[in-house]
Amino acid sequence: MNNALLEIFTEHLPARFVPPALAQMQTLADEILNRRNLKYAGARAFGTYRRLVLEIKDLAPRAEDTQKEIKGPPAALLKDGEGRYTQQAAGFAQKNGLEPRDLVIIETEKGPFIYARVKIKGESAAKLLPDIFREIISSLAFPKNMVWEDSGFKFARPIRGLIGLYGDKVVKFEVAGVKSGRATYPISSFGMKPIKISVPENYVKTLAAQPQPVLAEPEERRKALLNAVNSAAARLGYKADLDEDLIAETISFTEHPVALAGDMDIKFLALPKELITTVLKKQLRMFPVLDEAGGLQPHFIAVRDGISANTGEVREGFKNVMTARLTDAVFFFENDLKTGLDKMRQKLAGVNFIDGMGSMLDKTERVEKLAADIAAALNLPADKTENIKKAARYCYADLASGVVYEFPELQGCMGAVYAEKSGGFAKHEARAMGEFYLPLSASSQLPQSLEGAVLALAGKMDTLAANFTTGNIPTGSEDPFALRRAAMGAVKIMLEHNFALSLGDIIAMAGRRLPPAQGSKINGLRAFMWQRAANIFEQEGLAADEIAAVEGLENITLQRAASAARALNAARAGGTLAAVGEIAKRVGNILKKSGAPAADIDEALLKTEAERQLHKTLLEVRAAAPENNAAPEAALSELAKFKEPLERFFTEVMVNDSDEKLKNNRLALLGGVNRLLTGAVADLSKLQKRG
Amino acid sequence: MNFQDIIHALQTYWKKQGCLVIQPYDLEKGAGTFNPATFFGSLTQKPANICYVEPCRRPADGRYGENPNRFGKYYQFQVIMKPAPADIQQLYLNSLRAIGLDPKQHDVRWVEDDWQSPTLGAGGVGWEIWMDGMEITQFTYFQIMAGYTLKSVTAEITYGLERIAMYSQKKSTAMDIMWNDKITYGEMVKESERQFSHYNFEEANVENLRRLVAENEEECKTLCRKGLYLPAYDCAMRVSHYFNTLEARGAISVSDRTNIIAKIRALAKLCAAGYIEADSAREAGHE
Repeated sequence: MNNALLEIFTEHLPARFVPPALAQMQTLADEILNRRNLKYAGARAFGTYRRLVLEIKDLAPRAEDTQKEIKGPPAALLKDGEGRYTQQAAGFAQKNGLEPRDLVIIETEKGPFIYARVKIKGESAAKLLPDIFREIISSLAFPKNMVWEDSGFKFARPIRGLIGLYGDKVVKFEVAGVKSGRATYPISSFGMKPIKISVPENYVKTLAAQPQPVLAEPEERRKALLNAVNSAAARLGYKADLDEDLIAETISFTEHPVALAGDMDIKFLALPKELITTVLKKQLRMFPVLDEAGGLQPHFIAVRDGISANTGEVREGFKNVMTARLTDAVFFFENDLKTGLDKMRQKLAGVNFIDGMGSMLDKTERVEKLAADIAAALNLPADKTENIKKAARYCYADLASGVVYEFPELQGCMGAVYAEKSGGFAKHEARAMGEFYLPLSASSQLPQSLEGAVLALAGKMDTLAANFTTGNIPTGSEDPFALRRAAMGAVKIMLEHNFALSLGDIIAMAGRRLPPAQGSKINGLRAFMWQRAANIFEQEGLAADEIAAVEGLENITLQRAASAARALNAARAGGTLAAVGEIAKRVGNILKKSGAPAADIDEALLKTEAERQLHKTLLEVRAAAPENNAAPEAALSELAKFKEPLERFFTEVMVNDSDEKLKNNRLALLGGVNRLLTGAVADLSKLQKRG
Repeated sequence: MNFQDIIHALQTYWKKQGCLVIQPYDLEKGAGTFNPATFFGSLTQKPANICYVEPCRRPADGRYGENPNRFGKYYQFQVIMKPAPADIQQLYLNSLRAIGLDPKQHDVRWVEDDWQSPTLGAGGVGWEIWMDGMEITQFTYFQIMAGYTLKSVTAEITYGLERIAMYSQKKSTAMDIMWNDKITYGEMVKESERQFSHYNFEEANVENLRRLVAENEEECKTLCRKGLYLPAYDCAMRVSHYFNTLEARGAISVSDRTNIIAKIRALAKLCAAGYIEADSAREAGHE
């Protein structure tokens, strides 16, 4: 069987577009080939930022035959009274190329009807492929599209060539004025002399065999890149800083990565390491060079696309650009040191935070107060509180620095550097400033120091409270203020550092510091933050109902909610808990229906043994105070004690007694039980039955 | 290759590709895109192939002639081709060869960079082009101009002449570039940089500039109403330049900035509308 190949040859796609486009191509191919009933052994997408390639292995020459059921007249018209096919039936059969005896009767909603089962012959792959290739190309979605020619076709960058092959035959089609053929082209600096591809399986080989080889497969480029960068570093006697983001970007930004090592003037090493590596990686796409201990060395490894002569001049060029950029960095850094954190902090008065919430200086002042509030709520010692307040006073100052203006990703980090260099800060204070923006992403590190954790929490809570109060609430995928990340960070910090705070507590604290001060609640914020907590619990393996069971307990700390949900998860295996959950649901339903006001239990009215036993259990469990039990597992086994008395109660006792007094007393008894079952550790009625 | 030879070689090369070689437009502007040849030239479906050198003024970027790489005035070489030829990338690469920089001997990279001008209400898709790590050119396929979505797409190539000369002459600062074989770029521009920095940062009369912004805005609107979109566009360019000067002077607040940019965008749109209307009237006249 023959293989098929599609190559979309474009002008340079943005590196970040390439991996998602290839993933889509693969999915689209599978989806479309299946829909068209074309069998194949496998489809794979690969390519570079100039060629998106799809290879289909062993594509069947024809689509599978399919069957179609065509509806005819009602079943009564199949045969006449004498058992002969009617004229209508015979005509219907003939129309569909069948004998009358091949007709079938199928029951429908409107009664039985005659049907013709018709075989549809599968079309040839050669005939289907032009459509399939066109559909794949026009279905690829990019973050941003453009038009470049008069037909108005949209794609990420102009399409300049198309290969369509099935075996050794060209699959002819046209997109955006470009006709398919078997030609592809070299790396862009090496002209447009066509490279002919004979058959699909030769594509990769043919490109790799060019005088300027193209490594069409991303894995091959990754290997080549790592190999080149590592050997370049080894030749220098060091190792390369193999930043995964930079590696991923580079393999989508080259067709044949070649490494080029050069020297850096040693004077630049006086700059903070983070600043140099940011300049190298982000501005220049170069790999920094490190010694075994991770210390930065005065070298760089640049990557160029394709091998060529003139290495000396190219290296010199890269070095000059790096020198210019690092010279800029030195200028900004030295200027910042001269300015100092105090002046930077004052500049924040002229920087708007969000409308209605003052300047960044106002925000700084709020964060300082909020951080102190949190420290007080956590009963932190006075010296730690002072450290936190001092760090808070300067936590946003570096936003007014030249370096952070140039490299926003160094916020926090530069603040810590300037604090250290100034000599006016304790070690913990500088460290907390450096941890202020952590965690930067879902997987990144959290603040490690207690001071950093409190400060980072305060900063995030002020951002959340201020945005929610002014109506900047994320909807759908829109989250311009990165509030989901802030909420996730706040929740993670509270969990990781075991802060004895409920979501309600921390929201109330943040709200109190806003202008104007907000009441104890900010609309929607608790639910928003809870959703982040729920995501974390889910990732940990807890079930949705276990998480839902602790959601409503508003006054417990996040840590307590987590341990209660974990205890539910663990206790579930025994089966008792599920049974208690079912009963809790029943209790809840009865109470809801009755709508009876809460009343005190009158022991004299407990007529039956079942009632008395349940009451006794209630007193025992209540005395054990499961809500105060530090171990939720133990508290849950307390609650499990309700199982038998409740089962007996429901077997032997009619709650809805005709005697109103008896009925209300029974409801009061159930009410007492219900409060424990739904509010002591978790709301057990939320637990779902498991199959 | 010295500075003037680079310009000459680029003009000769693009002339051979069928471009009309025109001279800079005689008003201050922040970028070559403001030149009416590009602004109006990109709006309709009429073919346009043009190249020119354009001096650009960015008052806030001046450094009194003391920073060897930052200037309040510098030079761009601008090429526009509409409709964009299918081999435009190769045409560009060959133009580098014409100024002595063989792409095969260097690392030429096309780095995603979509251009936008909020003042012109314009935007496009494209790249900044790096040679051995240095950005030497901006390459853009216009998608929108003055708020109009373009049916016929213009390719705009903007060479940073100082960067290219630095690279080709192996100079570490723009001041050291040889303009011809005797005179340096620094000698040519240093005094002007010093004086204009003084003017832009310290002396420019804020009140006058504000008045000029208001007057030119009014005049632009009046002229547009009379169908005189070309002089109207001059007024819009002046507003833009006076605004840039006010900004260098530190006389523009954040909200001011947004407002004035929106005003200039509205003026650009008025001028573009005038041009499009006149152009379709002319087309109709031909039929």
